[in-house]
Amino acid sequence: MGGPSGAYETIPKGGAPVNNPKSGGARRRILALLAIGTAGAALLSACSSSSNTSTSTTAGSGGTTADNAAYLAADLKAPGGSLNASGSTFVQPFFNAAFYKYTSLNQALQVNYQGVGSGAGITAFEGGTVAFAASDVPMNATELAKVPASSGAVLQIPDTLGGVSMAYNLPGVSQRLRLDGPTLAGIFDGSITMWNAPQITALNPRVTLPAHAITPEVRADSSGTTYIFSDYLKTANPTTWTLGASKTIAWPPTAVQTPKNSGVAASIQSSPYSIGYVELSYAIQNKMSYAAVKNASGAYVVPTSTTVAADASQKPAVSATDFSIVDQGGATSYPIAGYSWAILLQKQANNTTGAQVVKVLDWTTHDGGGQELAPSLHYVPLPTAVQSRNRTQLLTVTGPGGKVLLTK
Amino acid sequence: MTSVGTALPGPRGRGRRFSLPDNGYRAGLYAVALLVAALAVWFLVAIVIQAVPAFSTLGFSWIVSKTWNPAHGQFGILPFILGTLETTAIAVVLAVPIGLGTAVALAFLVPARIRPALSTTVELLAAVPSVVYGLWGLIVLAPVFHNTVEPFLTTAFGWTGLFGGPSRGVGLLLAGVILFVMIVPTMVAVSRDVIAVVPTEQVEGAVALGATRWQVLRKVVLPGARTGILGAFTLATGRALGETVAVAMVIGNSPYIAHSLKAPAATVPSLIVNNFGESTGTELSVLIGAGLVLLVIGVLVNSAARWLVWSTGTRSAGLELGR
Repeated sequence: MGGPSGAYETIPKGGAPVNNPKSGGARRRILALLAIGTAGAALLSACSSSSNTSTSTTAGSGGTTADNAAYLAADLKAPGGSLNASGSTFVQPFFNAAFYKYTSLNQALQVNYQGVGSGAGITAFEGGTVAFAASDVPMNATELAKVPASSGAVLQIPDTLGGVSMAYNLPGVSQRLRLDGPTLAGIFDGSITMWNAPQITALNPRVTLPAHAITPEVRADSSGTTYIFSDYLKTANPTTWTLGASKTIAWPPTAVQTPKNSGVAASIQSSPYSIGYVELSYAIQNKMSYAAVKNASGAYVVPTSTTVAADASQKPAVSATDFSIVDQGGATSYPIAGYSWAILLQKQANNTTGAQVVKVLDWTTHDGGGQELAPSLHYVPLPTAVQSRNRTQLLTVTGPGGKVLLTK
Repeated sequence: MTSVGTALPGPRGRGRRFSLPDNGYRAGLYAVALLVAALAVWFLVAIVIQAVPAFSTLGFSWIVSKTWNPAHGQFGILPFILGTLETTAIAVVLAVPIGLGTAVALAFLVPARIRPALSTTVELLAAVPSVVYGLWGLIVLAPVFHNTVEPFLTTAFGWTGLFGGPSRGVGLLLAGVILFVMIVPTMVAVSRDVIAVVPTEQVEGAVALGATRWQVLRKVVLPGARTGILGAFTLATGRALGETVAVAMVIGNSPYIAHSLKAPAATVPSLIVNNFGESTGTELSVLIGAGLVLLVIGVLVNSAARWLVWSTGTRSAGLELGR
């Protein structure tokens, strides 16, 4: 145990080494949990050290770096005041850091983001009590129908990108596991029950797998992470995965369900022979072991910022109605990934608030602005094409009089 | 409790029966008592109103139906009701003898020098936030249960059929044990106080008649403190039935009827806390309705306990008289 076996597979940059379950004392795990809870506070120091991230050469709607810089400079001149927003807890650490940085650069404008959960954020948006909301899954037609018709169209843009890791606790196994779509579907629908089942050993010929029952670990609460994972299982196994793609799934009786990403991570760490899906950032922060997953091109890929970005870049034209980016193909793509979405009204009711919303979101969703903070927080920066589309979208947002609010 | 008026010394002797401070005091007391009652009624009415849509769209069958799958409009909460009763039963079965034993020890056996330290330690447990119990259960106890406790119980008591399936750490048993740790301080603190107020004359009388310590305890102390111990039981059971966060962290939240104490399960409060944030419409109403069902279960359990104490009380009194 201990370090990963270099001969079997190299750990890519950004990947965590395979952990030794015995060495992970309770104290370290508690610290890790606390670290998640206070991630927002820890980010303050991270903000200052983000200059090493390379800035892309092109960004903005058909624009250049200079064009992008002009927009970002204008973004920082948004009118003063305060903005209220709420929603996804997944994006909260990123938003906290991004908005803190934004306010440090434009001290007149304060952004208050409350991580109340995607569903509660959408409800608040429908009720008109927040300037914008964030959700791990875009609002669907039913939810959109609850927005008053007088409010006009709803705009949904990706704000950050994340991968979902298959984290496991397998005493006595030091090599990184390899898993594919059919095997994961079998483990999570209860048809594969043992670690040494032929489906798993076939993928891991050099690993001695224990003859021990698998404990699948899943989310107990409604979750965008569950959506992305089940979406992947459904996409990779169109006929054999029968539990659907949804924020809540009717998991088999053997599954242990724990609330929140941090809860699932802790539950996996304290249950030997368990495997579950956890946001990549939680798996890395908790130094968990996680599997390499077979992508649509047949390669086994470890989740990292790079491999998640590679998957997302395969489908630049994402929209609120066609948002799935799981299993996109590409030799280096990690197949279980998804965007988090910012939700705003296309026709803002007020020129001042409207300008604040579009400028803050434009700054947050572009290189040179908020996206610079993503890597240090284990989020994946949005692909350049998506950033460009975001700007095009935000340029359609107008005030009550039809005035375009995003400016260079 | 029923005779507050006689328990408080009246002002008769000093001729201040209708004085302003006294009347104000009395009105104030009535007001706070009514306020508490009004809060309870308001709370109940609000819950019932919110739960009505569940009953009007689904009838009553969902309470005893065993399939929970909101995505398909199936809202059976029987597994959660059973999970609640099972975890509470585990907690109470452990907490009553251990809690009562500790209370008796604190009242009679432990030397007076170390009694305060021991009492304070036990009472401190009651002040620990439940999420901390949950974290402790998930991070510290779960691996111990997985590696040691559950394999041992399976070997020793596998024949009972209660310990089937693989050991997982989290599940019904761990949730019950966490609840036990959470309710035992209440059981100890309240029982100890009621045991301490059993009249010394009765205890001394029994000793004078030649009763052993055990006989004094069984024939004088425990019967004397019966109502108070029932109060302790009621408080403890109430907390076990309604505990939310700690249970949600260690029970595995599996919406199926558990066939083993080692299996993951779920309780009504854990169902509510996990789904409340993101549910709307019928599901939200069902969750509130489940809360109402839990309230009814709490009342039933406590009524049953009250009846048990009352009936055994009269019987033992009768035996005493017959002797």
